[in-house]
Amino acid sequence: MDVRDIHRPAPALMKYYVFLSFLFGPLFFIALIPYYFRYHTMRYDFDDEGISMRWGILFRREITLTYARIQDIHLTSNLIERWLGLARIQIQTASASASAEMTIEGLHEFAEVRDYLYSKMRGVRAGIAQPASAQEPDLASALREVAGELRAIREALEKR
Amino acid sequence: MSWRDTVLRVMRVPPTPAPPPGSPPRVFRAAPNFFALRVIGWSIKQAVAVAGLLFAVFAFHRADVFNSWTERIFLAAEVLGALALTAEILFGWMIVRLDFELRWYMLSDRALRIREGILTVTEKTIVLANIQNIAVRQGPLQRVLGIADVEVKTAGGGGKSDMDRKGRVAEPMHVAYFRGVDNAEEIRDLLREGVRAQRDSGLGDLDDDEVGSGAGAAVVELLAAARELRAVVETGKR
Repeated sequence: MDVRDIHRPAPALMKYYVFLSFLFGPLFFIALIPYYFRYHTMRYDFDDEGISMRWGILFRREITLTYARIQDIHLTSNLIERWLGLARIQIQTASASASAEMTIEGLHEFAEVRDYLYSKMRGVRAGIAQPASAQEPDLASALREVAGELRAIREALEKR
Repeated sequence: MSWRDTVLRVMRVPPTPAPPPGSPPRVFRAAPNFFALRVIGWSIKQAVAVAGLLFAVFAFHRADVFNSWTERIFLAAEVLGALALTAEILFGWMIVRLDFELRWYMLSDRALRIREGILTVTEKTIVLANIQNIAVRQGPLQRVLGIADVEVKTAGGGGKSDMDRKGRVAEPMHVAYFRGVDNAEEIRDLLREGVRAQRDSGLGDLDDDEVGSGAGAAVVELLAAARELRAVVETGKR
C-alpha cells in the first residue's frame, strides 16, 4: 500500500463522529452537522516535501507540514476508535502549542502512515554520527596519498 | 481462559508495539513498586467512595421523614449505587493491573517508543536527535519505594495549563515519561549517550549527508589527477 495514495479518511471515521455527537445527548443532531461537513470535506495529500490536510465548508482550514520539521509522532486511540479500527496520528513540530499541530484521523493504515512519516523524518535516516571512514573514502589517507603523488612528481621533475 | 485475555480482546488493546526505528531496542518495564504505588492511590479513592456510600445509607436510614414510596425509590438508588460501585471497583482493579502490565519503554540507538494506557492507548515515539532535555523526577513516596520517572522533552511549548478542545487538562505533547522505573539513572545515562551520538540536534535541518561524501570524492579525484600528472612527467622524462 502506498501512503501517497491516501486522500480521504475511511468511512469508519463518520461512524466515530456520529458516536461523538451522541455524547451531546438530545442535541446530538446539532453537533453532528460540523462533524458531517468535516468528514466530507477532509482531504489529505502526502507529497515529496510534506503533508497537507484541509477541511471545512464555511471556515476552511488547511495545514501543511514539512516532513523535515516534524518532531514527534504520537499514536492515540480510545476504545471506540479501536473498535472501529482507527487511531489518531498526532504530529508535532517545534511550535509553542501544547496540542498537536496536525491530527491525522480516520485511517485504518495508521501504523503504515506513521512508519512512512518516520522514514521521511530528519534524524531517522542518517541520525547517527559515524566515523568518516565508514561512509566515505577515508579523507586523511587520500590526502596523504595525494601528497605522496605530488612529492613523487617533484622528484621526477628534479631528476630530469 | 483468564479474564485478562477476554478483557484485552473486548477492549481491542493492541499487542506488543512494533520496535522504533534504529537498532533492536532495549525494552524497559515499570518496576513492581510502581504497581504498588498505583494500588495505594486507587485503594484510597475506592475507600473514599465506599465511605461516601455507607454515609449516604446511614444518613438515610436515620431520617424517618419519608413516606413508603420515596423510601422505596431511595432503597433502589442505594442498591444501584452499591452495584455500580462494585462493578467500578472490579473494573478499576483490572485497569490498574493491566495498565501496569502493558507498558513498554523501548529505546533503540535512534529513537525511543513509549506505549501506555488501556482505555486510551498512546504510543509516543521520539527520535533521539530531537530530544532537548532529560530529567529524572522523584516524589517522596516514589523515593521510599525506590522508583522514579524519567522525563524526556523535545522542543516546543505547551505547559500543563494548556487545555485541549474538551476543556480537560491535556498531557503536553512535547514530553514523554518513563514512568515508575527502578533504574532511572541507567536510562538517563543511556539516553544521554544516545543523544550525544546523534550528528545534529538542530531543528528542521535537512539530512545533508552529501556534503561529507562530496569532499571525499573530490579528494579521490584530486588523487587521480596527481597520478596522471606524475605519469605524464615520468613519461616526458624518457
